[in-house]
Amino acid sequence: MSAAKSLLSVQNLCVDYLTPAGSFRAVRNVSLDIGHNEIMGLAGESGCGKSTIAFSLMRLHRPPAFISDGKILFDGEDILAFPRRKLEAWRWSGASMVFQSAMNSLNPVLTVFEQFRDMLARHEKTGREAARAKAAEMMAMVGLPADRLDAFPHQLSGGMRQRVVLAMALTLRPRLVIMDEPTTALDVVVQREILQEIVALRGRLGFSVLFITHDLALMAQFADRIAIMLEGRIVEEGAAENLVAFPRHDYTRKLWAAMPRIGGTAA
Amino acid sequence: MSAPLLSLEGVSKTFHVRPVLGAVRRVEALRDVTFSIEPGRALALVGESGSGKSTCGRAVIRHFEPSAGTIRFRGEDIFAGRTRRGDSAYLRAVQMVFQDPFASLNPTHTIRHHLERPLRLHGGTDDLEARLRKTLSDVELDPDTTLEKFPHQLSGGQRQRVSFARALAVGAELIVADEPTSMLDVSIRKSVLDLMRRLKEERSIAFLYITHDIATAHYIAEETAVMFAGQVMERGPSDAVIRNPRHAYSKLLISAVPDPARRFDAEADDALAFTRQADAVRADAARPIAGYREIAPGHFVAYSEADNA
Ligand SMILES: Nc1ncnc2c1ncn2[C@@H]1O[C@H](COP(=O)(O)OP(=O)(O)OP(=O)(O)O)[C@@H](O)[C@H]1O
Ligand SMILES: Nc1ncnc2c1ncn2[C@@H]1O[C@H](COP(=O)(O)OP(=O)(O)OP(=O)(O)O)[C@@H](O)[C@H]1O
Ligand SMILES: [Mg+2]
Ligand SMILES: [Mg+2]
Repeated sequence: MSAAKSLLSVQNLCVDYLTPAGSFRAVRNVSLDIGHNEIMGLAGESGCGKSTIAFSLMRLHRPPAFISDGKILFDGEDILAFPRRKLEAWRWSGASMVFQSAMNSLNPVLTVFEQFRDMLARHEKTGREAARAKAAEMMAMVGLPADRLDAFPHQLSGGMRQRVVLAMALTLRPRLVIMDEPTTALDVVVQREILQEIVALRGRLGFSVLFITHDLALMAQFADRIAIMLEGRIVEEGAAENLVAFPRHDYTRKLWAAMPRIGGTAA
Repeated sequence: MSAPLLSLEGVSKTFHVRPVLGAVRRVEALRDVTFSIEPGRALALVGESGSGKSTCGRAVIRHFEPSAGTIRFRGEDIFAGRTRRGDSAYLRAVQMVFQDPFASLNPTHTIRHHLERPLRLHGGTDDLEARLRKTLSDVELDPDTTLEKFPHQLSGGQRQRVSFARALAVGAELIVADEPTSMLDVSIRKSVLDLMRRLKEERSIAFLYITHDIATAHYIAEETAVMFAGQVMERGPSDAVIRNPRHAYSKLLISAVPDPARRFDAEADDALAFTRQADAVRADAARPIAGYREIAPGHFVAYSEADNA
């Protein structure tokens, strides 16, 4: 696939953390393409650099993290060169992100609706009524009743907060949604309903997804392609079916073998 | 059968939510919840998100008092006749590992600081350094590179292991673990579960294990309770509840456990059918429970008035 055909093209990305003990390279020469309307899965053990990549793609990385090398092209444009204004407009509407432990990324002193309205106000002129209707529509999409718009975050369960964040990330119809463990706080029934809904929405609206999770079984159900990371590098990448049926790398096989299964002895 | 370490007897909790405009809304987070845990054993709470699992856990650590019902620890009502000494003993005996490590670690303190205090409280200053290192190794963190780090310098999974280490450091008798492994990858998840098992077997620590990962409930807990909308739908030996669920909601839940062989996109009709079925089962399960049938020793399945008619 040539770079222009991809919505997102990451080329030789290197990200370092500058710590008092010296610099630590958390992402090493990662290259990754995500096609239009493609759901790309990123898996790998804890600490391998998945969230660091996610933050870097949004340019939300903060010191001591530094992008020391590489390019990130979004529809052919170098987002590392975006001026601040453009970057801010691009976030949420060009690309949005559901953070790992998203349930704590909500502002504790604002109601859910106020947070929707803030986000909408920053990007487009939306009256109160229209914002309310839009927010209610997005809440319905993730299976939450509209009356929960008036709740404060602490009045919602972890899974409900997670769904609110997911709904917010989809509101401005971004072309890329980065989801860092978006469903770990949800029960498997709701998880399946939401991911099926995202698959359906992708068909209707058209957007790409970078899906980060530890749950390989879930990833195999949801992603079109999967990349497996180990210690800052991508060690294997391919169509989801192939990674499930014919994992090539030892580490990928190990991940599959360690997977929890009901009834098996391994958890 | 030994006496339970912890028991909940008909515990209910109602929250009153006051919106800026409009009438106060009641949220019945727990409705008549009953279960018990023996020393050295684990009970898994699984079920709908928002069904009251964390509320159960928070009532057990005395975050708030139930609206009705009794919670007993070693047979004694944890809210009656409280003394300061009894309180601090209880608070040490019962530890919570939270769903989210970001919320429970202080960003301005090193990992060393997080563990030193509980270790000192529990075992004094003897061998403090060695015990610190041991506690970190127990949760498979490298003491050399971890001790002086701050929470934000660790990955999500590494952070969660630190909160686990802290609960171990005070020598708890009961650990309420609210999704302690949901942020750990599979290769590490198993070692943390094995650690929990070891603590159960070797130190007789009991666990209230709250999870959405039903396979791990099966792996770690002798008993499993399935919750929906504040009520326990089914409770019994994990093997029976998970392999042979009897309540419609338990069946739905277990049918939705991710299966790598079944793609989401290849089944648009399937998706619709699943959602319809889920809606129907949930509407049914939301009705008040009239009682439980014991269908096998220790295996209870809820029924409602309508089921009886
Ligand atoms: N602020 C920081 N300072 C120093 N090192 C950091 C910092 N943030 C992360 N790291 C290190 O960078 C590496 C990658 O972390 P990252 O959070 O990207 O991992 P991850 O793959 O998302 O893990 P998880 O699955 O546990 O969320 C880890 O080794 C981590 O310790
Ligand atoms: N402080 C509060 N004020 C009002 N309502 C609350 C409060 N805490 C919890 N609730 C409500 O109680 C219900 C149960 O919440 P709880 O956090 O126990 O669910 P849970 O089963 O742990 O869900 P999850 O799996 O998503 O973490 C939810 O409807 C929630 O909105
Ligand atoms: Mg991460
Ligand atoms: Mg919870």
